[in-house]
Amino acid sequence: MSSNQDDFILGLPRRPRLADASAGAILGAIALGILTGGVGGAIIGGVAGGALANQRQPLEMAIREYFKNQILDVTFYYPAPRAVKVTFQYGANAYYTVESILPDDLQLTPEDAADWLYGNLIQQELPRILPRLRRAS
Amino acid sequence: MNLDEAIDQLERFVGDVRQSSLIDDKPNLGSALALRQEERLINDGKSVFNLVVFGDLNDFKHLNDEHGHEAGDVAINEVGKAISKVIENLRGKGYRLSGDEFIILLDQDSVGGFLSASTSLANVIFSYDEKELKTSMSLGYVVSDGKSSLSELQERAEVACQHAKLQGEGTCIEWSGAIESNPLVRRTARCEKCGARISCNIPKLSAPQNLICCPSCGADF
Repeated sequence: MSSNQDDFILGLPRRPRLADASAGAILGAIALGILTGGVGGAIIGGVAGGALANQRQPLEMAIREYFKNQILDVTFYYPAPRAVKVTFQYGANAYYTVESILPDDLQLTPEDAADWLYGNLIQQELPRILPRLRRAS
Repeated sequence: MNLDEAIDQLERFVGDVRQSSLIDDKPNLGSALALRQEERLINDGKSVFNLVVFGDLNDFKHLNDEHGHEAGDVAINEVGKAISKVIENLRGKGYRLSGDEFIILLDQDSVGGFLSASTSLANVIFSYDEKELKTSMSLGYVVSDGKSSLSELQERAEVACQHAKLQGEGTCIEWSGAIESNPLVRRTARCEKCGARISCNIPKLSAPQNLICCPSCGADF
């Protein structure tokens, strides 16, 4: 799927769409209860309609998939209405918690808020500490 | 999708959910629900396990207060991994009961192996937010008399564990008659320094009348 301005919010990348998820990511999301089996099955089977496939991935699914692609293991996921915290493992016994918090003055719809939290996490918060953690491990 | 396929898919999802409920969400150990399933076998005399170990983390509240609940979750995760390693060659089973309390079920023939391997639970080290943290576990165990229920065995192992806590980090104590004659009593106090309300079960004969140190702020009195 091509990228355009609709894929950004306030300069940050929005969550990927369900249609862009791998079968493994969808099955993982079903196993964790993030996606219902019906929705996941329809996407994997390619029978989902355009509206469904165009939906953004649930925030937890998008974050887990992003960390997985970075070869990082999400150990714990802590959602909150205006924030999200992720504890991940980057070494044998080494963990770090990274947090994305929506500023008080930013009023967004729930969907836009989830997009902003995702974008801020992967483009600002994680890159801030990841190079140092990778050097240390 | 026809009806048969839908039923088949539903059954698979129900199976997955059932399986997930038997595994704890933090350490990769059995859940309290899975322990209840084993309890039926033990109470019916059909289980291969006849030794019950109760484990409890030392100063867990302090770790949570000092470094945050996320660090506490990581500690539980790391202890779970350490327990799995300890029991993997002993053909035992590990469960997280709740909070920082764990149960291990073993065959009594493996008690020697367990006691030597369990020393690793006295010093579980991990890195959290680039700080080196440490946690340790006190352990108590009881061998089944063939008559007692799992709940009764669990209670005795917990009493032994509380005695182990008093002796220091990572100690493992067997429940005995001497422990039975020194039951746990509930002590409650409020820290004068940080105001935290402290409540714990401690062996009657060694229970101090007043708070001697605060597990929340570390103050000594």
